[in-house]
Amino acid sequence: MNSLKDKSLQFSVEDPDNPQNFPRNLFIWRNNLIGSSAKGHEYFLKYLLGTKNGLFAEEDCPNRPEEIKWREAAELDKPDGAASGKLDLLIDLDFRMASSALYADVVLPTATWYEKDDLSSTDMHPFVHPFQAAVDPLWEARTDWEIFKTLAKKVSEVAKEANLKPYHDVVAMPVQHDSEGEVAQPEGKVRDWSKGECEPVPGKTMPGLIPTELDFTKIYEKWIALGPGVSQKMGSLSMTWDSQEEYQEIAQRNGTIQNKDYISYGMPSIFDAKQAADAVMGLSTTTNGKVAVKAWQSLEKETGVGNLTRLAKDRENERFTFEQVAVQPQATITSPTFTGSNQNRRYTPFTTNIEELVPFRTITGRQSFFLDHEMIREAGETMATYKPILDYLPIKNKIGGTKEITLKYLTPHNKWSTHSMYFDSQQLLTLFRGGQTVWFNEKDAAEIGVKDNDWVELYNHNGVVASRAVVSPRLPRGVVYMHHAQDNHINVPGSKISGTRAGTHNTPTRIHMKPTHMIGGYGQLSYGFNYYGPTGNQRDMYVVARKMQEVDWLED
Amino acid sequence: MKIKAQISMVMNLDKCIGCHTCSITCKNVWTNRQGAEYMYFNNVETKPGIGYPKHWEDQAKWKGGWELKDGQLQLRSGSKPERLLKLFYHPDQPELDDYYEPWTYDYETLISSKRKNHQPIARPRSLITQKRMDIKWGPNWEDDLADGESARQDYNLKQMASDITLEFHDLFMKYLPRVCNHCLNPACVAACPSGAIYKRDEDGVVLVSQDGCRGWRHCVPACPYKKVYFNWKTNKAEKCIFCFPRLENGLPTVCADTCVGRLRYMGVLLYDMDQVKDAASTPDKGQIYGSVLDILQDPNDPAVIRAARKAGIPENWIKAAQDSPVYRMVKEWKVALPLHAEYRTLPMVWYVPPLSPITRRVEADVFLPEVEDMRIPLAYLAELFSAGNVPVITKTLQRLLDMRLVMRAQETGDPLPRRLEYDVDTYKAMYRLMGIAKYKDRFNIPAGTQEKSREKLNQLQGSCGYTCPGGC
Ligand code: SF4
Ligand code: SF4
Repeated sequence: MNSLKDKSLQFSVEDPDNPQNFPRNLFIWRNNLIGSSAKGHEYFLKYLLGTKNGLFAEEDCPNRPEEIKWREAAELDKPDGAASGKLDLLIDLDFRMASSALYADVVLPTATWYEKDDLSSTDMHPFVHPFQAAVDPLWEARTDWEIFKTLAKKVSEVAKEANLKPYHDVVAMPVQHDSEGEVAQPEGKVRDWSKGECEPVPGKTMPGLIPTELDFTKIYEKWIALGPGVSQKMGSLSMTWDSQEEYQEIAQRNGTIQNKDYISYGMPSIFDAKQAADAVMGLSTTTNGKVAVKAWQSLEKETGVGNLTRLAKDRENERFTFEQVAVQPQATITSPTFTGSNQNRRYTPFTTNIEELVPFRTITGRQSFFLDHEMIREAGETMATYKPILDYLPIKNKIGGTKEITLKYLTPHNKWSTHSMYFDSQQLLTLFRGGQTVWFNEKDAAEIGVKDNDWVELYNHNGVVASRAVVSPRLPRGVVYMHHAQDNHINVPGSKISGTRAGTHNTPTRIHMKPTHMIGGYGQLSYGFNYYGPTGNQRDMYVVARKMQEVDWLED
Repeated sequence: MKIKAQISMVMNLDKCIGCHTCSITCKNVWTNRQGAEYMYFNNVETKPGIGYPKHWEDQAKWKGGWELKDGQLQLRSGSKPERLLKLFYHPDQPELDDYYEPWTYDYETLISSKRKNHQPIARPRSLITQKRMDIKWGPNWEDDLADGESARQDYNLKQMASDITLEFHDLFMKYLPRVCNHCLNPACVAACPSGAIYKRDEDGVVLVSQDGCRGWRHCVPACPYKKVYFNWKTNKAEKCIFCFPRLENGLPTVCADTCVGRLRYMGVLLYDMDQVKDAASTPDKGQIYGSVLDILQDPNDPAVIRAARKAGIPENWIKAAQDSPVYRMVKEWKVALPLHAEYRTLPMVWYVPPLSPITRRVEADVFLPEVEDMRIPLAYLAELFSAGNVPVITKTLQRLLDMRLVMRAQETGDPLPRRLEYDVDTYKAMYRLMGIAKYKDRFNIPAGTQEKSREKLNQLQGSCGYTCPGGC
């Protein structure tokens, strides 16, 4: 604590351009980062991968940050500097040769949806669906479960050979929603321990500090078993319940690890994917009625609201299994982990808050329309507020030489792919324009002399897109649509402007951090994974659009 | 009276989301092979638009379908001798550019590319010439009004002679999924010089015999819907087969089965074959629809049942006709219409026309639009579905609106604003079938008349299963 206070010890986030703090290895799994989700595509190419890119933005910042260490361009551009690729190793698990795979050092071919066993669910609907292998994975492909298991095994072997000792570390964790930490900032006032405004207290005035131990020699032994972490007690949000019975049941159902030398000896096996699915459904409040009842009991105790258990009591005897959902997807059991009720009705959020008076998980316990945290006040967003698009120049110097028009750049979801999934399918590409498209209003297009199916370029300081134009009366004037996650490995030429392959829908974008998303320790404004925290907001973008002067495929 | 049975389909366009799942599943099953790449037995068009193939509705260009010459029904492509003259050179053939040039990509470069200066790329390559190509048109080029200029060339828009500009303020669109209509009076069958196209006796499915086809291609322009295609590899015509191997086993077509909007219905219709020609010859094109309804027979009428039995229609087919979702929508409730009845082929795929949102002119607190206030102009829908007869389309849409009025009143308890055409129970039944029907309600297909093939199958018993009796 003292070293943190006197700054002899710092968080790595305070010096992101220090080679010591670079992320070095990255797995891409069930995702297409490069070419699809990487908001600020060209920044990823440059800073993360250190490869050819079309970025125009310079290392320049009129308002330099006070708390983040600023390193000058010359230093970043050095061979081991931040600007020439932070990553050492990119590993991609995919069954498509999409952009991520193109840029990866190692591609692990994985099974498709119809070649593996898995579960699918979401809190948007009340069903648990199975994936089932209709055929075995083709060629060298393996299921994700097998790939990670194989990796775990190999890493453990190598670690043993190298005689690696357990590795101890401390991980900083943001103050979490649904933890005691969420009341860490009374009255929504931020006090900064680093400026001496208060004492640093982990999990209260600063992130939680969690010691971890990583024993690389035992990764595999742990990987194949359901560990002791859930053998006694389990919980969700702020509820906890006894899980011994379920743990035993899973051991019975799946069998246990038999190797006496393994640290996981005697623990329930999750060696194969179906066993893992059965373990998940044995422990979840939504798929095991007994667990649901226990969770409701815990919520009753926690909130003082009575008679909640009945919401799951009628299904207490149910325990989903993989075989069962394989016969038919099952409607989940009403669970306090969510706020809907599935009792003979369709799931909608907040049902139990309204009907059963379970307090909302907010600072007031009610629906909050007014937010009084000081950062929200500063942003002028105490009530829902309209904020116009930021008004700025998309690039310092336009290229000119031909007719150009500046338009708002929008990236709605695509009709012909699910994110980038199946974008490169010949059949789906045949059903529209055969590659990337950008939609223009007819009059905007006419202004720059662009007709339907002409090649166009869109550029701003973040990079250049080359695409076919769709000229339609359906768009209002002043905007272009470039549908989300059109990967640029299909039918995309080079750009004379950038001198290399033109980019993806995320090329003209980059992330704007929104300060109010970084509030912590204040009820619902505390961090929750995938619920609240800094988002990759890449909106409010302008591009300059022009007809492409010359189409060069840059196949060298 | 000569009763025939027809397997027929209804598509409820109110529910089509234009997802093209039907096109993909159909392609995967039937036309995913060389020579057939460009064919979509099932395609989905955005209307307004010129469609696939381009301008298929323009019969001045293609001479498709039938016309009345001195009150006599005649193929638009001419009388028999006229057509004979065209045997070796047929000027009205659509060309590849009217469909599109099918392509694939050099996917291999993505895997095998050597170290390069720039990110490798998969470029398009023609599936016909195997050469590099520029993509200029496709089977669904106009998706969601993608190309305003071509949308404005829509044939029906021109017929309407209205002031629709298809600008942002007066835009409208809808999807139109299309398969072969397995017409009662098929122009393709009539046009074939070899007699290779035939309408199956037992279920009315229209098929091209691949043995009989001599590649004259007269069927291609003759079909006014452009639903016969020419396979450039086998030099034979091919068309939608209504997935007859599935029908024979009591299953709906692949497009209907996989439809995401669950908007397709299939079932049996009984019709009087003796009246087909007269119906197709109805002088006023706006009345053809009415004439077709007249020749569809009531499957519960004892006289019809007797005649059906006499015609050799099996009991399970008569039963299916009595419980046919298609009969209900087409004849009982009159909510499904034929596409371009003026082509006089008497199509057996029917469309429930789509309702659409209110126009901006109308007050925002209107909960249900009036028929006239809907975004898609009535005259436009009339061009498509009632041969320009606006009162027919108006009435049809009114029935759909009334169903909503009734169902809304069930919820709110509000009194019904006016006297409605049908009684409340009918609207409820309509709602059940069109709103929430399950698979079994949407499809009622009797397993095929398999007496003949059964015999053959019996001969196969005990064999290894790799050969067919009589050799194949
Ligand atoms: S729609 Fe089908 S049955 Fe009708 S004319 Fe065309 S190909 Fe023949
Ligand atoms: S699958 Fe159904 S909803 Fe989708 S385009 Fe085809 S007809 Fe329309």
